[in-house]
Amino acid sequence: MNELALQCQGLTKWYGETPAIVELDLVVERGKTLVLLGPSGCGKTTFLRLIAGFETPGMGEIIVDGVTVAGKGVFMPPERRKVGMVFQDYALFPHLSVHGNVRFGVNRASPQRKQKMEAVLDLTGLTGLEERMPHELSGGQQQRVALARALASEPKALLLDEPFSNLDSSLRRQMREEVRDILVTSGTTAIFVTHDQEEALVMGDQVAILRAGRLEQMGTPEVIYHSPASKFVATFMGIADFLPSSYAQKIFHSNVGATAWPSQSPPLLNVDVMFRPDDVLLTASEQGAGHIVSRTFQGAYFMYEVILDSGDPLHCRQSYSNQKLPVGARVDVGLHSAYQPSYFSEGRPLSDAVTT
Amino acid sequence: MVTIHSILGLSWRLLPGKYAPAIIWVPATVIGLTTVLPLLYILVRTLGLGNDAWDTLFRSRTLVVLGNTAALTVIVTAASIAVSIPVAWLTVRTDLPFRRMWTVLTALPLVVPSYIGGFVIVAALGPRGMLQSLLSKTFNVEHLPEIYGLPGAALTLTLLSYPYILITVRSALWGMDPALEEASRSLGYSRWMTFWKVTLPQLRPAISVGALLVGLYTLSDFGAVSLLRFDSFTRVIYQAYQSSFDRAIAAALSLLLVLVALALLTLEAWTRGRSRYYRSDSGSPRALRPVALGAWRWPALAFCGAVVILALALPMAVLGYWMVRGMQAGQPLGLAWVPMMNSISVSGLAAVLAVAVSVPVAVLAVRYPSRLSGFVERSAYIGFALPGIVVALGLVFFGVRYAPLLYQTLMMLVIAYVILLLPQAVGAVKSSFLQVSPRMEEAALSLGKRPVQIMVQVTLPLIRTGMLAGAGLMFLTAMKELPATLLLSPIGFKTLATTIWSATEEAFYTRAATSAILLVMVSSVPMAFLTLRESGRKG
Repeated sequence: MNELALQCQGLTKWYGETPAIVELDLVVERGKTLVLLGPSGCGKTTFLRLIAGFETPGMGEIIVDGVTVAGKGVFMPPERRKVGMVFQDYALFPHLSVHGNVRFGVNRASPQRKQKMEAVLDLTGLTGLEERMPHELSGGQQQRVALARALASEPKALLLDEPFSNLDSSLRRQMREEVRDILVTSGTTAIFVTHDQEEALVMGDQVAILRAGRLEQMGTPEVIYHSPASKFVATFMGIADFLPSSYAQKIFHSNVGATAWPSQSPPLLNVDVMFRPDDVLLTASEQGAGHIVSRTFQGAYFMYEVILDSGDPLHCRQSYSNQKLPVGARVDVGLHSAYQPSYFSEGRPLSDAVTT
Repeated sequence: MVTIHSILGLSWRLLPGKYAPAIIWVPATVIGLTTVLPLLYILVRTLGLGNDAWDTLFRSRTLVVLGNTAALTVIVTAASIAVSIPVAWLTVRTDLPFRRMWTVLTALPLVVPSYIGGFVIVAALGPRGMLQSLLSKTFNVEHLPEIYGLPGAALTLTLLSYPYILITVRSALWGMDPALEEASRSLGYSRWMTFWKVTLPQLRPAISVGALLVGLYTLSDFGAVSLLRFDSFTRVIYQAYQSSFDRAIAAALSLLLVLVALALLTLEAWTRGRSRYYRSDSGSPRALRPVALGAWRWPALAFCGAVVILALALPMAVLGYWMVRGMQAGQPLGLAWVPMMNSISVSGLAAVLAVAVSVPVAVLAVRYPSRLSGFVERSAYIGFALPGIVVALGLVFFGVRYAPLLYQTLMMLVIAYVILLLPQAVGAVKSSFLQVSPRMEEAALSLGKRPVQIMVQVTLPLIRTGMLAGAGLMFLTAMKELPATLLLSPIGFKTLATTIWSATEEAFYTRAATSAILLVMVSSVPMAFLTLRESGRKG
């Protein structure tokens, strides 16, 4: 057993003149879930299809559990890779029952195939539905059958291609947790593709951001969210505002009652500071640094949009327990006590700019 | 068992308004009743049968005919499936060289009428045929295996009718969700295993609809079995009709043939089973990546080539041989322009009409399953199982007694064509309906559209390919039809089919060959267009 369930080195795939995947280096540890996140057309589905063996890479190497399955003159057909796949539209066999679909994946030579079937059906909560046909199932049940079928084949890695995109949001939230539990319980290594950043944060042990076929950043969800490697990642992972650092320093120093500016001003010009809506606090103040232009109720909190006197927009998420501020009110902006600034220069974090 | 209860239940279930809108079930029922008309004639004549005739009918010869017909049907259907599935897969899913050319050529045998096919087989492989004269000259071989009877008839009918299955299987392959095969591959099944365990089961409805068409074609074929002297029902019926003045025996035999056809229909419905075949996802299908054949492309090419040579090139060569021989002998070619235009206009009219009337039948059968819709669908298929001569006789009888104004008009011929060829149109329209999810119609319903609007704006555009395929097939088969054309054409109205037949009877082989070549060429144009258009749209 190899500790690395999957390795990709310099993986590249072109469709004619269009690059789909460019020199991708990735590693997934055994039993972990890697979420591939990116806007549509960024190459994430192509990546899955390369791993599964439905596409041939132009260059680079794919190693599954220590075995080269593609690259270096090797191309192993999909059926020999032991890589399972859960398709976006489930691709359940319409001519087979739930039982037939799940049994399809079980190794027929295995002496414990009956127990394995039962274990998988039990794990995915399908017990009692075995005799149903796919068209007699709800969306969530179809999803579970697709997962059970893939798990029954005991894959070395499981690929999930936007598996929740056909489900409604409450079911999607429920399925996220269920699928995560199932993956952890069964110790399955998974690569999960989505364009939903919230889903990525919930599902991933690691998150990889793809943009136009290139790896933009890879790391734990916390790192991706709080220390994005580019303005693209920052805005893709949620609302982010960027203020010129000298200006930020000024407003956060000048305001009364807010947490002080936590660090020295960076030594360079043209440096921006990133703020997430939950980094910022608002207080009503006639002298204030800007005014509120919109307020939306989002259940647990209000989202305010402030236009600073410099003209820069700033978003702020305020708990319902804070004072409710009207649109048009002038406000002072302060910082959350745990805030650590991220500096960007020309779209890249300053640490990169300094080191390179 | 018939009880009061079941009769009451039946009559309640027959109230179709509860299930389908009137715009669907009224025309569908009218069509169903019209197609039953010739069958009613057969029943009436059979009931008038004398005791002697019953004795004639229950001789063991009838059993032999039944066995012959069954054997021929089973062999032709099985062989057609065996030929068409590999050809369909190769031309849709692989990188076979000249794929589009094979797509067209392998479907073209459909344009060869069975009487031409039978004639060609006799002329090429029969005693004193082309092959034998060649062999006797070079190798002094004097006797070839007997071509008359079952082997010749089965070979001819297989080569001419396999495209029915090929066409339906091809459109099913085009419409299949590629993720199903990929799912199977990712679960550890090789391409070969995947084909058997996933692809083939998905093709089952298409195969069974196509096989039904081939089976019914074989049951009702007259031209090939007559020329190849094989005693299946149609030949025996024709002989009974010609040799005696008692048409009732022919009618009774026809009734038996109808029963065989009904058995076939039941079998087809039974094989469809419990699963559903429309796509359940909402996304548009991804383009299929063709399978790379590699070194396998040589046997694949050889296979497609053999099929095309046997079913198309060889018949054309034989016809060409006769034409050239006639020209060398100084015979006039006698190109049949007027009959050609007659064939085109009558067949075109019949095709348009038949597709139009097959839509309500298909809608009723697919969306509103009930006893009534089952009855209507089955009655639409009956036309194909009735030999053309029986449909024609039924209409002659009906026309003389009840519709003297229609009798001896072209309309009568068109009606006969529609009855005879409706199964093809219904089959094609229905199988495309099976791939349209009812959700789409429900979505339109929820958008406030009335059923008629949904039909025009949603359903019809979605089944347009199926309807076009249906119209093309209808036109071709109408061009080829012989017995009904012989009986129902107004006096002096000649088509290509009747010209070929009379020329063959009078042994003007050159004239028969030139008209046959003309017929095949005219039929090839829409066939090529149809196959190319469909493969261009989806492949």
